[in-house]
Amino acid sequence: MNPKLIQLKAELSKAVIGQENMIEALIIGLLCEGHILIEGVPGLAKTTTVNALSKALGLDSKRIQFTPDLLPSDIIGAQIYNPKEHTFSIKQGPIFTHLLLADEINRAPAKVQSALLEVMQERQVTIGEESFKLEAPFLVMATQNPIEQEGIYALPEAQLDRFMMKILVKHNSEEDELAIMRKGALKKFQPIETVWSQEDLQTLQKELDTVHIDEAIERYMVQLITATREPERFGLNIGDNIMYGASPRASIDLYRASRAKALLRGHDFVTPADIGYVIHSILRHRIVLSYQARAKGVTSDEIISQIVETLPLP
Amino acid sequence: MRQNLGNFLTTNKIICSIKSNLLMLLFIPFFGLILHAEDFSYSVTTSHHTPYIKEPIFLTLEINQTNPQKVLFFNFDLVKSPSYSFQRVEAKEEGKHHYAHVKYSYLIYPLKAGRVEVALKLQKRVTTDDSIAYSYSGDRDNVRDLVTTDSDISLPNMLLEVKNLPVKAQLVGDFKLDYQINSHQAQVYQAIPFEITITGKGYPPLLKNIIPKEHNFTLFKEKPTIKSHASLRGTKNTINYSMALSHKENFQLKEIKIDAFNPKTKKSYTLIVPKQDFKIEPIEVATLIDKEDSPKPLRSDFEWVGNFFSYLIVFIAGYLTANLLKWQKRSDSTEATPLSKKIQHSKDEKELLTLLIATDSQRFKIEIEALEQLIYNNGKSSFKTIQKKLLEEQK
Repeated sequence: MNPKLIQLKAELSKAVIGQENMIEALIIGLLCEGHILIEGVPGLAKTTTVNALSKALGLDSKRIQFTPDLLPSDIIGAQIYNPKEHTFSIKQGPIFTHLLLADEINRAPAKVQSALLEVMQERQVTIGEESFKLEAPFLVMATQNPIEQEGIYALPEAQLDRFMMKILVKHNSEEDELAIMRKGALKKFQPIETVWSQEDLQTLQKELDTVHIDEAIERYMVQLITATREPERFGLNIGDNIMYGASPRASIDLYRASRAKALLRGHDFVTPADIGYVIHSILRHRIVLSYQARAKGVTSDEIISQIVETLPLP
Repeated sequence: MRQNLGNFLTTNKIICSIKSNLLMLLFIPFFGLILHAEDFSYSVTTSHHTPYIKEPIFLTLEINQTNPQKVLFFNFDLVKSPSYSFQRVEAKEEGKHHYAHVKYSYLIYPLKAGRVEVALKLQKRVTTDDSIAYSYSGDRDNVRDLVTTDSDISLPNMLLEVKNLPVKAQLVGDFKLDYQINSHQAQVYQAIPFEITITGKGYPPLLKNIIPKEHNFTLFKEKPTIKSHASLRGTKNTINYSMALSHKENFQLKEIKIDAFNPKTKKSYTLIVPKQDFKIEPIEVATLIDKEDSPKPLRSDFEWVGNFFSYLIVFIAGYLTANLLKWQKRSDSTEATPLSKKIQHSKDEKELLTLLIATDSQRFKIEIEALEQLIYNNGKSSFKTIQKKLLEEQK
């Protein structure tokens, strides 16, 4: 693995114990300039991870707690009238940062979600008549409660598609929990130091472009995505469980994330295993399950597993 | 400035143009008005000032802004009093900022004779373009009030010399009466519908007891339905009194007389419902009452059986639907091949790698690495070794 990546992971482990999936997803998001959606219960070090990552990278980070009465202007900012000078001045919102933790994104109504997701897509904010480009890197890590909970506004499929990956955060193992308990109670967590510069990040992003993907692997990726839309073509009897398959954006994200994963594993080429590591995170929020599937309790992860299991490796 | 316009006028129009720094004094004996204002001109128009009780008077106030340096708004109303009733029939706000043009029209009914003072209250609200722009910059969730400087404009009371009605009258205005009785025959205690409708222009003809209190039959009555529409031409009314009469023997409804006075023609008149005779057919009172305390139902009611079965069907349908999904899920899971079997049935390293990637990449990280080495770099571990290790882990 790239020594810089090893150094970053080591630095993060000072503040975050376990949750490797989440850390890796964030690094992939940073390298690929993709946003991450995290689903999980509170208290699983989401804010800690973002703060640690921003410190380690020397980046700015902010957190927004989404609530039902939040307004788009609370996120992007607003024009404020100055009665003394009879002029409007622009007050920038918390979106103007490098790493943004959008906590419980599905607690806010659709207009607020749309405001955030538009910025995520365009990386540009318009307040009044003025447009502002967001400084790179810009990564949104949004968290959401499991949809079974009450008082939430589920994100529409079109908006979910804008997240590169969706990570399911689970509780730590007993060993990790023990370490957290000891370190937390005795306040033994070490402060995070900045180990990367923005140039390091740019260098790694450039290095990502050198990771080779064989044509057979590329075709395998396309087949995996196509199988979510036309499973019958690949001999899969799961058509009744899928209402809509993954979008072309999923193919692009799978391609980018697989390369990033290969880089994280210290390879300069992508193998099917790299795809296997990221495919669930890339597709789980993009496959829209049918009513029958939801009634039977079938999950999108199960469908993805079935697809991967059926399609032959290149 | 003092100007006497005389009592002979039925319509008075006074226009006062008052500049911002000029205090002008007006005295109009007809109303006894003394105005102190600035930035606008106005006119007051009234139909007349010596009405009869309940005769309508029309009042119009028109305001024109004369100082375009300011943004003006106005509030105008009459002060409530037991001596008169009133209704606003029009409030038009025309013109634009800096050139406000407002017109208020009222209909006033004096309710007592003698000298009646109608109090007028006018409020001027001054604001600026900036304040308006600021108030518009708010939204539904962030309301920004319009900031104004309000001042009350003192208007003298409007004086009326109200005349008593020349005759005793229950209604004042131009009315006509219609009545409707479907039948003059009925059985004992059967209700006979009876309806009186008074329509016309004037003070709303609401009467407490349209039928004289002294009568020997049973009277059922509803609250009268009132339809009134006030306009600059007066108040148009339609009032409907719905009643029903009932008695055990023949009875008579005496003549109903309603005295009215029309102030326009200055003539009195009477609305009349002539006397009505009703014939009641006697029937055996005993036939109206059940002979048994709890008479048997006319037919057997098996509705509950239908209800019971419909509930039962709905319950079974719901139960089966809920459980079918569970059963189907269970059969799906039992059909699924356990992972250990799948590992055992894997023919080569690629098939095993596919299986592990599909199942859980993180969990089988080491095995995946080993299989990749084997496939792409001729690694040391053999397929059989990895397969065996995995099977042992599954136990």
